[in-house]
Formats: sequence, structure tokens, C-alpha cells
Amino acid sequence: MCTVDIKKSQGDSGYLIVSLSGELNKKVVRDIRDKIVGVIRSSRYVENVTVDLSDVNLIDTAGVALLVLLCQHVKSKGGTFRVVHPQDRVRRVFKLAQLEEFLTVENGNRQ
Amino acid sequence: MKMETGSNDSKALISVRHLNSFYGRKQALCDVSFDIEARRIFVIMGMSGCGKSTLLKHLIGLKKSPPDTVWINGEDVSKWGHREWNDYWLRIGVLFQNGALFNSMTVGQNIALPLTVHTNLPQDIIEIMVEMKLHMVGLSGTAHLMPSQLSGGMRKRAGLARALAMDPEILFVDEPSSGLDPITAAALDELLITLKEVFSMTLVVVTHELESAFKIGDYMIVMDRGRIIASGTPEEIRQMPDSRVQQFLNRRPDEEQRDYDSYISRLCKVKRR
Repeated sequence: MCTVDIKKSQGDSGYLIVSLSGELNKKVVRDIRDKIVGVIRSSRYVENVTVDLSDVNLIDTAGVALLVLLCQHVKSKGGTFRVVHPQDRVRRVFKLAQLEEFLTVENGNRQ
Repeated sequence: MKMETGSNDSKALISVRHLNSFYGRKQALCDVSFDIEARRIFVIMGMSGCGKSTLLKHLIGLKKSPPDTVWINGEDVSKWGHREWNDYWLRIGVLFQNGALFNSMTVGQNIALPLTVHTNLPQDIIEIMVEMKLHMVGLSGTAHLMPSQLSGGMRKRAGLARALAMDPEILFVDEPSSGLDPITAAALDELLITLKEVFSMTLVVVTHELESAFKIGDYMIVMDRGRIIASGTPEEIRQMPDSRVQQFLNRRPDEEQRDYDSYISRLCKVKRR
């Protein structure tokens, strides 16, 4: 089970904050992708996307692949992408996949 | 280890009790019992032909187990039907000795296959996952190649990438180091340990490579002629005085093979024609 909360900035500033919680795995990735991409496409433009993972306690490689896909999409439009507050367990998966730098992973667990 | 007959109170992920296994009339496993705890690396060791691979076949459902001998998550697998086995097979990954890739598919297609068949993941996500798995096993940039274009060691690693495709809860690995150079084999050992730690994966590794077994194993059994002759942590195994265990650990061939006199004696018994 994974929930997603997406906050768009007011006006034309182009900020998007995606807060995920639960388990980001292959069972939910298609739905989560569709929701996020739907918001990005319906926006006038999205320059900066921040994905907050502080409430994600498990991630598999499908979840990591989703973040890579979003990162590619945003960067190809000239925007910036970052992942913030991953729990240690989640961060270890990024490290194994050697994607901490590509995904601009920042800060440890917020708690 | 608990060794009850006909019941299983163990909290282990996999329990085996008094398992006997046959190929026709030839007995391959004799009274085999052990527990595999979750999130550990369990190593099955022994010389060629000792029953390691047969045991693996029982654990992954390629060989039928008699009632009350193999439990997975507390369930007697002899009672499982197609649905239960299919659910189990979706939760496990298996690296066979030869890699077992489909030769008519590219490496990338081989790895993507279980994801395409068993999940609703979009193709773009699957392609990224394939590249990630290949990178993890040190085969970045080979997705477009055919298995026939890979060396034996590369095929083995591609097989591991496919076994990891579904992020399995349990990974079964048959002889991970065979056919690999020492550096690649060491890197593979490190990867197996990392998988356990990062994904809380349970690994069951069949090997006759001592160095690798003692490096990665949390718990191990040593088999000889279908029987378990020793079980314990790597340290406990090292300390065991049993002559057959020490013979295996010290890589000494069977005395029988070294007995020159009995060899000559057998030669002399051959009747002249």
C-alpha cells in the first residue's frame, strides 16, 4: 500500500512537491506513475519537482525505476529533480543502484 | 535445530524434516533435516554428487516432496496445488548453475520476461529495472546482446540479473562462483551479502567453494553422500572434529582414492581373457 500526496505551487512558479508514504513497490508503481505524470502534464509547466520519501518505509527496484523515470522527464524539460528525507533502508537501495547522485538524494531521515 | 517428526512448530521460513529423496532406486537424500531462517544466507556445502542440487530441487518445487518433510512459511508443501506453487514461484528467484537463459532472446528480454509476464509494470519502468539489474551484476550495456555472445561467467551473471528481476524474497543460487574468475566471484559474493542487507532477502546458496561459503554464510550445512554431516555457523563448522568435515574443509581427497595398494590389488583382480 502506498499513498501519494501532490502539492502544486500557487501561480506560475512551477514547483511540485510529491509526498509518498508506505511501500513503493511493483504493485503500486503504475498507479503512482499515472497520478504524478497526470499532474505534471495538466500543469502549465513544472520546473522543479521534490519527492519527499520520509514516510516511505520500503522501496523495491520498481519504485527506484519510477523515480528515475520522473527524474528523466523533469530534467529533459530543463527542470530540477530531487529526492528528500529517505529513510536509511530506502537510501541503501539508492546506494546499491548507484543512483544517489543522479536522483539528487538529500538529507537523512527527518524523524 | 528442531527435528520433530510429522509436525512443524518452527518459526523458520523453510523447514525440512527427515527428507528422503530417490532417483529410481538410488537414494539421493537420506534423513535430511534443517531450518532456514528469514533474512539470512544459508549455505549448502558438499562435494559433487553429494545431493546439494537435489535438495535445492525440493526447496524450489522442481522435485516433489513427501508429506510432512518440507514446510515453507509453516505450510506443508506436499499439500500445495498449482495456485500455491505459482504464488511461491513469484516470491522466489533462482539462479541455476548454467544461468538457464533463453537463447532466442536478448539478455535484456530474458531479464524483462518475468516482469512482463507477472506484473502490470509499464514497459519504460521495466527497461529501467533491467538496466539497474545488469548494472548490479556488472553487466551494464549488455541488454542488447544474445546469450551466445556472452562468456560463461557473463551468462551466469545475466542469470543472476534475471533471478533478481522480481526483487524476490528468497533467492536460490546454485554454484554462484563456478566459471567465474576470482575477482568477479568475490564481487558476486559481496553482491549477495548486500542483497541480504539492503532488501532483507533470504538467500539459499549451494556451493562447493569453501572460501565463498565461509565469507557469505550465516548458517551452513555440509553434505556427504546424501546426508548432512555437519551444520552450524561458519565458526562452528570450522571447529568440528568430524573427520569427513575436516577432509572436506582441508580439501583432502577420499582416502580410498589415494590408496595405491588397493588400486593395484583391484587391477590384479581383473581376469585375463
